[in-house]
Amino acid sequence: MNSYYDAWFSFLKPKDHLDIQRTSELTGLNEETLELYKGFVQNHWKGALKKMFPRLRDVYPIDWDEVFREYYDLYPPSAWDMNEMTYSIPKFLEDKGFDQYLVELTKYEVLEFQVYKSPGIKSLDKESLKLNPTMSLSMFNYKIAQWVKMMDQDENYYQSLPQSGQNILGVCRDFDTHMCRFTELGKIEVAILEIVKQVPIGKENKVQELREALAHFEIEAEHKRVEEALNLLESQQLIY
Amino acid sequence: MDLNLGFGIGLRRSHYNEILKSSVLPDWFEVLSENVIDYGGKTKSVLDYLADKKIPLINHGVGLNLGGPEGLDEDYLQLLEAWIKEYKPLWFSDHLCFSSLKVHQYHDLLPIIKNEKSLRIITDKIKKLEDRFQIPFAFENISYYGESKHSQYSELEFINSILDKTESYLLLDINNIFVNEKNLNHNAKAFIDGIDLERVIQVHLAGHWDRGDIVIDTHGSEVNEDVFSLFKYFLEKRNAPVSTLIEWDNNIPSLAEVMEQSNKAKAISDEVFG
Repeated sequence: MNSYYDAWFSFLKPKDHLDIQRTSELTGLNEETLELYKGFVQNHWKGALKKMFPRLRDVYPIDWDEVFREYYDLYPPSAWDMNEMTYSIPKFLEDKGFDQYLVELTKYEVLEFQVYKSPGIKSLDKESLKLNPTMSLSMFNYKIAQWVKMMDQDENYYQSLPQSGQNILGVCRDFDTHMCRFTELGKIEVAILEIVKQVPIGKENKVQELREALAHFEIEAEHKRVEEALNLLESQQLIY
Repeated sequence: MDLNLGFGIGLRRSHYNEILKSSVLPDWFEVLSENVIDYGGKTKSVLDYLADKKIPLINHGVGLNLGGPEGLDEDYLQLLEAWIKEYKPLWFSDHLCFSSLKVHQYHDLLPIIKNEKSLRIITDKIKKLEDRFQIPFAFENISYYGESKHSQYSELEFINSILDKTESYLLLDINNIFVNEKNLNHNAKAFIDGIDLERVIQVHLAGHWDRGDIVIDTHGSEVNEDVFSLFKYFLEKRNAPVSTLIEWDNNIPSLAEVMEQSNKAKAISDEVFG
């Protein structure tokens, strides 16, 4: 790089940046101009965080104006999709010692965006069960999905805390509304998703085929239990 | 090939539901590349809906980093290429600026230094884009808030040099010319007079904010009357209609309100060309 762009890079660094007077000399731009641009860039970086975590903002008074420099210093703003620059916030907050439920709330909000954005499209194969192409599984130690649902219905829950308890959430995008679905899953449901991912399961005898596959994994499940699990997974569009 | 698409608006997420319900839509939409490439879900369903209706989509980016000293980002280009292959825009565009350095993305249009080295970097990148995509590429004149003392060219000289050395087009942002006149003492009409207007493939119109000490290109309000007047001056000089787009990125009103601005631009064009 030449001195013009080197100076800009050093000046715009989230932390330990080049001082404005030296930047002005190197770039040939006046200090007011440099200050204006620095404000623009920092507003974009902060704005990405504010926009990505609206629920965190509702339940905890985090001051992104204070935090953003440290965050982007540790996790450089390298994504050209502004939203993706925020993906490391759960890890950042965890390392900073934030309460686990707040960390998990940000993990939930990141997942919600990832599912919104996911380019996955529905397969045309109608013979066998398919996983929703946007589907992912995620382990939580708090009942975050349930808590968010309550907060969305009643603002009074902003003052509440989520229930603790390990749970696995299946996350996917609804094919019709494009909204994100979070579904709490049991051991059988998770196993079925894993099987459908790995083995073709025909739609005609799906319950029986799944029972046999589960047995292969040493999971015994009654016909009715597998049927219930399938109903849940299909109604939530985790599989189709 | 007729490249005049008429009067369009920028596609914004807040308008998705209105677009899917509205019986009246603009002639065309411009989409921000970074908000559509690699996106599925609702974004893709709206794009597919518009494509089915044969409404042209043109992509306009901020991520090519034309002015930056580093090369083009191959990952970005591959996604852009896939999008272009699917939606077949008649041209695509980005800005005459730098927007990232090393691994840092600034998500803003930062001012380049206008010297020989910069000119070589930018023209090399444009030639690579032209070779790879095989559709016209346009670069936009940006609003900026200071000229480096180390620049060797004026903005007009620099733009004309790029046009001379490549087959690219200019996306002429009339609001940016106006903002630069106010902030940098450029002469907006002289700027229009100095451009080869046949190389203008598209026009942007947008609102700005006059803070008193400085005019900021916010895209957050209606187009200023002075900007519409400058648009009329441009059309009279060009003597042919041109694809014209309303940009509105902040405090975004309803689809109908943005389209009102587009209709206003159309009325000016109709007045000039009958």
